Amino acid sequence: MSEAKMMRPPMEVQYREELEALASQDTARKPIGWKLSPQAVRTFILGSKKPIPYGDGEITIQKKYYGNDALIERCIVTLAGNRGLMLVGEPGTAKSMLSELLSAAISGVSTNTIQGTAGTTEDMIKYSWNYAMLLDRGPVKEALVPSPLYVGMEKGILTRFEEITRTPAQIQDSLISVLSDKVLNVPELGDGGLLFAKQGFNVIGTANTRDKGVNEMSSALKRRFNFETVLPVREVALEKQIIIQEVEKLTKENQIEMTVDESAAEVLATTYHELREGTSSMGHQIDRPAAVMSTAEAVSVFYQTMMSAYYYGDSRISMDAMVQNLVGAVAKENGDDLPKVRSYFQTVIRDKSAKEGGIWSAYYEAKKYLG
Amino acid sequence: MERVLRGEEISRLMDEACSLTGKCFYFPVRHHSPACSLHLKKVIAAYRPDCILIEGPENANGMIPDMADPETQAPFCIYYSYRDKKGLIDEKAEDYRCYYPFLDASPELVAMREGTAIGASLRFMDLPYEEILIAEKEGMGLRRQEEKNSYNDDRYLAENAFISGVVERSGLRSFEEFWESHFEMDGLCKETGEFLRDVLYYCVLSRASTTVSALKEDGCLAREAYMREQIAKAIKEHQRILVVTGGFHVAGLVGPKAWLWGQEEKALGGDLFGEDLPEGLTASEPKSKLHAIDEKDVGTYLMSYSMEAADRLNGYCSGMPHPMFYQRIWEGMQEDGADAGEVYRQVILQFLVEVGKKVRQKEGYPSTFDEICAMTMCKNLALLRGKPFPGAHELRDGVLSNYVKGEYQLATDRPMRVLLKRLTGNRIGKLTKNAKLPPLCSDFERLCHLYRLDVHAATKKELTLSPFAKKRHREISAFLFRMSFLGTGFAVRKKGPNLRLRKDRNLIREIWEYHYQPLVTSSLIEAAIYGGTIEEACRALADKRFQEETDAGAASDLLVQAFEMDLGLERSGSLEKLHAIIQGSEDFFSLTQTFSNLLMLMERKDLYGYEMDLTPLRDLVMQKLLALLGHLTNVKEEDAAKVLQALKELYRALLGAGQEEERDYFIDILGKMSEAPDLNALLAGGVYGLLYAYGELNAEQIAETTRGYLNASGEKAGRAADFVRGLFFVARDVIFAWDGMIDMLDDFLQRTDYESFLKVLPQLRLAFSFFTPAEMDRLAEKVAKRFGLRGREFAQLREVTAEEYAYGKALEKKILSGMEG
Repeated sequence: MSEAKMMRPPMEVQYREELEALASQDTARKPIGWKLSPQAVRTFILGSKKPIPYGDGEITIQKKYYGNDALIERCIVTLAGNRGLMLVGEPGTAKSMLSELLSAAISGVSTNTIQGTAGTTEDMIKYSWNYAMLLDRGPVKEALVPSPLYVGMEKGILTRFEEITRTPAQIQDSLISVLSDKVLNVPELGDGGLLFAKQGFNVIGTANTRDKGVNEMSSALKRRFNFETVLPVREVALEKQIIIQEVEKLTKENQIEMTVDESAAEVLATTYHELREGTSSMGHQIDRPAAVMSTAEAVSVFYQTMMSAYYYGDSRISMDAMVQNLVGAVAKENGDDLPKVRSYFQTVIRDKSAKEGGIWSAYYEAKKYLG
Repeated sequence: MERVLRGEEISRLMDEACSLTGKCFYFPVRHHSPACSLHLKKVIAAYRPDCILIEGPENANGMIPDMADPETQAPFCIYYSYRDKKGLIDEKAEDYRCYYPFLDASPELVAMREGTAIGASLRFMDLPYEEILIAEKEGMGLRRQEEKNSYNDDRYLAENAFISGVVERSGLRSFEEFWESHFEMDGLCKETGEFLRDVLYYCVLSRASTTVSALKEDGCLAREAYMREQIAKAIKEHQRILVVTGGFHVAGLVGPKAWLWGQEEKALGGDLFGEDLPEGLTASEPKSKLHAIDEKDVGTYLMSYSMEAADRLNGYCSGMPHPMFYQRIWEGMQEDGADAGEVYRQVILQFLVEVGKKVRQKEGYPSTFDEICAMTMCKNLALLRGKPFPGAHELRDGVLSNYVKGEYQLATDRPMRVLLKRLTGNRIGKLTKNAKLPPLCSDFERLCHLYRLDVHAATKKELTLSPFAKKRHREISAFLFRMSFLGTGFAVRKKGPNLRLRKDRNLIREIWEYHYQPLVTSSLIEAAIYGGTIEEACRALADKRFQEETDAGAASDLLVQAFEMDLGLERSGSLEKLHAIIQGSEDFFSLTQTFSNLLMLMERKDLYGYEMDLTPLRDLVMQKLLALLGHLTNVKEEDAAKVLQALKELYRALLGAGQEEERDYFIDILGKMSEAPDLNALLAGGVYGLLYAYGELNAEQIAETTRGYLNASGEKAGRAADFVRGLFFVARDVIFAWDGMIDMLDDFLQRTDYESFLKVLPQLRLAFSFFTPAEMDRLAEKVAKRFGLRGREFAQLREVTAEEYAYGKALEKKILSGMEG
């Protein structure tokens, strides 16, 4: 599939130029099997203010992850070591994005991924067979269908395991021996059935701590990972910046010619931030909704609002549409959440509207859509 | 900023300030920094000063020999106090205090120790503490409203626009990480000259980002002017003077005054060596004038300090974070030829192993392999961050990544908690025997000797007192209460009547545990500001708290404490203040607490041999309570019990002769409350019970109301048990006065289904807990009689299990239906 047709190109495609530029300028030592040095991986994720030469011109490396820089450094150092990396945290805290960025920078590929679900089996983690060929030729290497873990070990690249805690605990545990011995045994292949991992192989897992239906990891598996807890963004200004940046990216990808309304982004960032933290900037105590109030959700609400303005409106973002989308995002899990948002509007937004006026008043007016 | 502060200008400042051949060598420090201390040691060895001037209030000049004494062990601090009786600071005429902590790695202490070794004259050169306070604006410098103000505050270096920019550009997380990376770690690998240049560069640029007005407001300029005078004086008397001062002040102390002033808003906005001074500022500055201050109002003492208090992270803003980490670095660097990288790596390894061991004891992890991985991570993080070797920040990252298993939250953060505690350390300093102590400490020693309390024991001692039987024991008890009141941690009462919690008031003995530790003396030094004897200090502190108190309940608690401490408050203004607080209070519950405390004190005053007459106060509270009571019919569930207690206490208080008028008023209020439609059920029980006790209602009337509650429908049905509880709380004898009450309760229980019974059970249990054992026996006999048994037989009945009961019930039902059929 060509890049233009992809809905969401992988990180290595999206940032191909940056990765090439970094590789060409990278003089620091690289761990065996890594495409870039740890320093360059850090720059790729955290960005650099100074442009670096690329082709005939130069390129500025964008900051792709906002939040805790030390966490990124710990992730990089972990991946260069003996342990797997487990990113845990609430939904929508950019764990998967971070895991993709790390894989793209370190191994040049972020698509070698196991998608964990309740139905994931050991075959999907290790290997399975092309049964037609198996019947025809018996257990030969060609008949083996490698899993992403197998591919990672064979090629010496990172394997991503998304949503590992959705997988049943006994299936998760099939990773244990692979992570400690770095060897996978395929008994059907006889003596030639041992696959030794190449240098550069490691596993990045992501796990969600708040959703229903997650399975606790065994202590044995936990021991084989270094855990990094990814926390939600703690500053409204940063959250606003993330919303703007992400929405700009989406509009560009989908060829929506509309500029992002910064004040509307601020309104939404403030709403999400305050509902998540349980206090407003004016000191009100707020009942926190049970629904996930993540930055990723805010991006999605904002983007939907922009799309409705672009396709069905006058290309100007409307507070009515934003509140309607907010209702959709909040009310999906728990019926008790909507009254909480309503009461938030009736106290905090009312006071902000009285104090600030402008867009806040329009936002307050739109409370009628909260039912 | 870059325009005016060029490298060559800093170089000129460096040449002027840090020349080994000059008359005066200015050594810039950050407090508690091992790197500064190590370079300072080298400078002292090379420069051989005959006089060392150290930044610090000059009140403590006489204590330098004690501080440098080998017997004195860090951490310790200089404690300064000042009573502004004359109102020189402001019209509030308050008390002030501050601390100047020292660790082994503090450059100021190193200067004192090394200076003593080479026989140099040593002096502090800053304004006296009280003068610093006078020079500062309210809320600034040492006048900030903080729990503990610290003299060596390096806020200047840590908080300004320049440092925020530097930290951001260097990709580090905080000023502390920046300092550790560039000065503690890099600094140890550099020559002293290069290190000093870096520190000066940094400090001068920090100063350039601070405004002149900020420096004026927090007294910085006045202090520097005084320090310059002291330096000028020393230059006349000595050959080689070493000035040890916070790096921020160097530019304010060296050379021409033009360095101090800016043309615009910045402290160093002008050319470093420019001649032009801003308008209104002249080159010759007036001599600092000190105020005439009574010596008695100023206190300066040495006291033991703890690592915990010295940790910057505990919010005292003095020196560096993680004092134990840097203490170990300092100790490691004392060996000849020590390699900084190796010392840092060994200290990190030591912490990783200790934390691993401690966490493993409880959690079963981390493993040795985790420890290896953590050490590797620390090294690799340092490489990635471009640091010469790993430091405290890498150590924290290493533990966080490798020791914390699962999501980082309260249940899993033990490794980090253990690490942070160890990085702080628990060392407590010790002072030389020669250290001067305030009279309060001598009084403590005198009393311990008088009461034969063993203060030299290494372990806790136990003491049993009979304060009501022996006068001497009462005195000792009061002394121990006073020591607790001063917050010394010297004594803890393990058993005995607890008047404030109203527990164990029947006990006649007190069992105390006491143990002398150096921190007891530190606390006494802190309390010395209140007086020269323990009694005087307690009285002054109690008076102060009374004056600050606004809540009647809390003020009466204070009165109870004064009672325990045997402090006669008659002559102080405390009782008047309490009177005023009660007068102004409209909080029923706070007044109830006051009332209850006053009644208790009046009852026990003969026992404790206390003379104070509290009757006027009690009467005042009573009047207030009676006035408020009528409005309290529909109170919250959790408050009803408190109102009930107040009702009972009012009843008791009004039993005496000569209170007929108040009693009638009380009965009148109770009557009105009983008619209120929204009366809380628990309260209703109490109100009816009291009306019965006063003879306003007879047993029949009580029974009728009780029947109303027991036979109520809907929501009120569940309130029956509340009513019975309230009734028995104040008038349990009603159950013996009228036999029908037992029948009524029995009927109620028979009718109540299992679910409802479980709901009312806790209240019923409480209701019957008010009866004495003898009354319970009498009651049991009556119940037994109702079922055709005698009391003794009733006692022999065995408990019926739930299964047996269910079987019996089903059987009964079946038989009944069979009989009907």
